[in-house]
Amino acid sequence: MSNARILVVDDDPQIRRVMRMTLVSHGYMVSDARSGEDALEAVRGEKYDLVLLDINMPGIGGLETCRLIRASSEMPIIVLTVRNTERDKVEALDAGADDYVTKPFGTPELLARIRAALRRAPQLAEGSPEVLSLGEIEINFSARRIRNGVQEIPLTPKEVDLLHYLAANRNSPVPHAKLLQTVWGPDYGNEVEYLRVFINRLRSKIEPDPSKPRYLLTVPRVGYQLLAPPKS
Amino acid sequence: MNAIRFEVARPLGAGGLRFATEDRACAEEASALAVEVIYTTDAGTRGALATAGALAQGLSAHVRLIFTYAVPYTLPLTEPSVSLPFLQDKLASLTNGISGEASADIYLCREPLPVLEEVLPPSSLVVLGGRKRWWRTKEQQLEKQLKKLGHCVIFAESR
Repeated sequence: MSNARILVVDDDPQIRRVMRMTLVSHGYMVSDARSGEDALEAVRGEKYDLVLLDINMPGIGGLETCRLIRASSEMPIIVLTVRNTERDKVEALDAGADDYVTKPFGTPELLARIRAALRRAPQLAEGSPEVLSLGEIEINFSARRIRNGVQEIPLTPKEVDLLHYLAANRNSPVPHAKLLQTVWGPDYGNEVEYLRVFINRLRSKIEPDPSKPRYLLTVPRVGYQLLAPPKS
Repeated sequence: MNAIRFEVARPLGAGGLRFATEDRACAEEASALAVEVIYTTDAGTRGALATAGALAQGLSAHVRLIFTYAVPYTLPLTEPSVSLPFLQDKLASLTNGISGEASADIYLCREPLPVLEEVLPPSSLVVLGGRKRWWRTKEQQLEKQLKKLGHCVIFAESR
């Protein structure tokens, strides 16, 4: 996944800058935070595929940040630190880190560890196809477009995420809370109206008659379900 | 409709306030879908605008703030007791916090609800801000009335 979103958390602006340059040059989308508090706020507001976390930081510190992120998210966390005693490593891994890299480290090693962590990570829409056909409609997730005959309809990133997740779990109902937490983030769960708005919008794009949906069904008191050809 | 409309448009990235119908036209053309926010109170509207901004971003829509000002019958409709530049400044400062396209309309009217009935397109996505109580507040009453009119209403609860 070369377009993965990575959050770099380090109090040293020099390191943040170097990491950003390195990761961006390898195709990753990078955001940074200068403290644990900022990182927690960033994670609440945005979805990331991986966090690179420094341990020695002022404020709540790296270990506590790691614990708090892990409490609400399953995204991979790689800890970067100058400490290399066995006890430090155990503490970081017990706090929820997936990997531990000791400074100084080489760029190829860090990139390899990022790739490995992303490989192991639960994907947003594991098992979801790149292209999904629903009757005459073809949904291309990577191009963020729906093709209906000759007509091409664009999808917003949120719509793609939502549809992608439903496609990954096609033919089985997905609860509201699960959808909200996966697509919007761990702080969401009760905002069923958001889902209603986005599902209506998606229906107007993929359903021949949005008032009588054939593919994107409401499962009363549970959530939504995408009816599609089963996974091959 | 017995109401007068004034416009405030704030194009993306610009901090200033100006009357700019052509900017509004561009914003509306760029994103056909609008998330309508109806002014309730300052705090409520701020919350509603934040919710609307997040929704609009995900839907590639623009946010339209609607402010209805009921002019007392003792005054002419064109001469409200509050100065228009003051209202425009107020709306501009409220919409400045939103990321993305935002515009604001001020309607001078006698009764707000008929104006809303007329200016909201059918099945609009409306965000209302306010506090929820066990008794029905003014904002909750408006929510019910708008739902009755067939709009999709999201209530952004402010603390």
